[in-house]
Amino acid sequence: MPTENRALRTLVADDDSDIRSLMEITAIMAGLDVVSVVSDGRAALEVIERGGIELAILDVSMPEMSGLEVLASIRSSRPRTEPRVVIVSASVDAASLAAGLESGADDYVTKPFSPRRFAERLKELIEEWDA
Amino acid sequence: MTTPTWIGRLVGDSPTPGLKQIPSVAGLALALLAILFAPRAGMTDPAWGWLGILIVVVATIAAFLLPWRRMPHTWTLALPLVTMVGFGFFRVGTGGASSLFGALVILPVVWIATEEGRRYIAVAAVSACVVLQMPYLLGEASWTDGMVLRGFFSPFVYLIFAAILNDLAHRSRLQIASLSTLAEQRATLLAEAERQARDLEASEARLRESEQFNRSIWEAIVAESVIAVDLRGEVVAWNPGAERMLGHTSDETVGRSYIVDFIDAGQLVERTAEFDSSIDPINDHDHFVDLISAAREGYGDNAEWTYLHADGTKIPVQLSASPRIDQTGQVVGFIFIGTDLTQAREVNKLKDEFVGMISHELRTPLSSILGYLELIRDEAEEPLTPEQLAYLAVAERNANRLLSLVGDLLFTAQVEAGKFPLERQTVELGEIVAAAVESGRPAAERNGVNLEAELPQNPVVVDGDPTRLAQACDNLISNALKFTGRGGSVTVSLTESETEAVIAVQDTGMGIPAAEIDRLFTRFFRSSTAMRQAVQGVGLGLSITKAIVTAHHGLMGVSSVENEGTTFTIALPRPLGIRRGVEVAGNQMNEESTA
Repeated sequence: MPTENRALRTLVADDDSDIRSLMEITAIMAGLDVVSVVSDGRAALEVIERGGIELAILDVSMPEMSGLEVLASIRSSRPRTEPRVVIVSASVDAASLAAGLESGADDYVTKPFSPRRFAERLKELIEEWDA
Repeated sequence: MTTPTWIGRLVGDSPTPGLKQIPSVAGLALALLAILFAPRAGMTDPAWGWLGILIVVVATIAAFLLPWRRMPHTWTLALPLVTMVGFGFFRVGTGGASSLFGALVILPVVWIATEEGRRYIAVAAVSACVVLQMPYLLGEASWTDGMVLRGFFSPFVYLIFAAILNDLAHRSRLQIASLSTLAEQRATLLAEAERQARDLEASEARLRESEQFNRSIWEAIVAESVIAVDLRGEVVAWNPGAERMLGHTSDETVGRSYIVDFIDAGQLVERTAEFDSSIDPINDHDHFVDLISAAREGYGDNAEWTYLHADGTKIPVQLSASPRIDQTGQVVGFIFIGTDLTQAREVNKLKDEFVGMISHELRTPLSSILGYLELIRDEAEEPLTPEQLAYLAVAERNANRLLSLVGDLLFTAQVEAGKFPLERQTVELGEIVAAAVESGRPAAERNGVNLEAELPQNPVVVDGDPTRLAQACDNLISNALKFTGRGGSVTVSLTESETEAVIAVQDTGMGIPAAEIDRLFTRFFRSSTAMRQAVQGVGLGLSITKAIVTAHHGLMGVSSVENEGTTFTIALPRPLGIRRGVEVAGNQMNEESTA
């Protein structure tokens, strides 16, 4: 039921094109408006800096800048909720999870993810943010 | 020499009676020669004369032939006494009181007088007196001529002579005894000196060998730095390994530098401040021992420090400090053995990077596979046929298998690297076991195995990492399902006692040969039954399960009978607060457990 949620302007960033597409499909399944898809951290940061992005789905391991570095950079210069950030990582250990959440991520998803469940999680998050 | 040598020879232990008799025999021979060449000195009464000669000859033969050594010593005195009587008869036969040969008597008198003891002076004098009176006793001379006085006067002279001889002999004996003692002592001392010389030589050889051995070891240690210091930390020995590691030679450092000169100053100051901030570790050499003692107490004998190379490079070292003891047991300094950790650190870093790389590179394609398979399955507009769905399920199952294998390999690498993340929290084991049983149910149904859970009514709470504990349960259940044939059963139970919670996974499967049970928890070990039955797996599940249980301070148990089944148990310690039903303050674990 994507129409129930507001279509947040979303950025998707991952260096792997297949995963990038999967993340984009997932975002669309969640009713999000994917306005930008990039393949490295620096490009992601540039898009976010330009403004207008409400949600960024960032992979941790990317060339140029990691997702966590992008997160740290935007959290240091903007209000806590602009934009919302969901971190996606292939790493399973607790230290990475803690690092992600401590840097100010709104949620943390590990690969491999189920597109259906990821989409449902995104919908829940949007409801929480809107509430 | 105060004593005449001949007396010495006569009184010594060595002269045999035969030897002592020789002067008398020689005297008699001279007398016989005198009679032969000077007829005026001839025999006046041949019968007495020849009797005398016969007696002396018999005594001489006896002196040489009888076994005197086996007889009491005093018996040998019979020889000079008999000889003296022989000379008495000879004197009677050669002119009686006026005989030229009366002086022969003195020869046996010498023998008797040189015996040890004053009484022999009297024996010599009395016997000489009797012998010299023989011409009168045998009626060969008249008691009334004036010559009879000679029979008394001469023995008196002999008495004095015998007394002098006896005394000289006595002194000579003492001297000989003393010389003999001295000689013995000298011989003993000489033997002792020779022995000591030999020992010394052997010790020197051993010492040289030992020194050579130590030197060889000292020179051979090039991978570790060995630095010996005195009680103030001043360098007293610097091995080739230290030269290599720190870039300074032995000549530059021994007696010129302190060990603290080669330790990273910042680290030294920081660690010293933890013990005693009043000590200046770099210049305060008098407190060096305190510093070492404190460091040994705080960081142990074997701690990581940072050395400084001559070119300024910092070298991480494992530094062991042990006291240097002298002969009396006193600590005279310390020996520092440093092992360069640079390479080990690099290897660890590479390992971490490898684990990270594997984590990313293997999981990313698997993420794509699993994600897109799900999209295909969930396609609502063009639903798949049941057959296609079944094929897809096979692909998904295998992709998941691969994912789990990657996870196991990663986890094993983390365990090995000692970087095993545990997120401890209060965990309800019943939920975890129930979830694990449910996730095993599809496989159980597929394999035709009856999977049952026996859970207690009350929650069983432990302190642990829920993800890891779930992984441990999953591993045991999936193992049991793999090794149990169609129609068999797997029972998972959870029980609790005062001190622990026990999860048991019991199957009616093929069992494990007794000889293999010890190796069951070894990485990559696969039992012979698993190989025979071609059961899937790489042999990591049990080693991972054990690592998880051990990290929770728990114990793993296994009992198995071949062809009857196996039971694995996980016993986890229960938090104190929960166990007693009361909150125990001041302990984070207990506070959490009662929360």
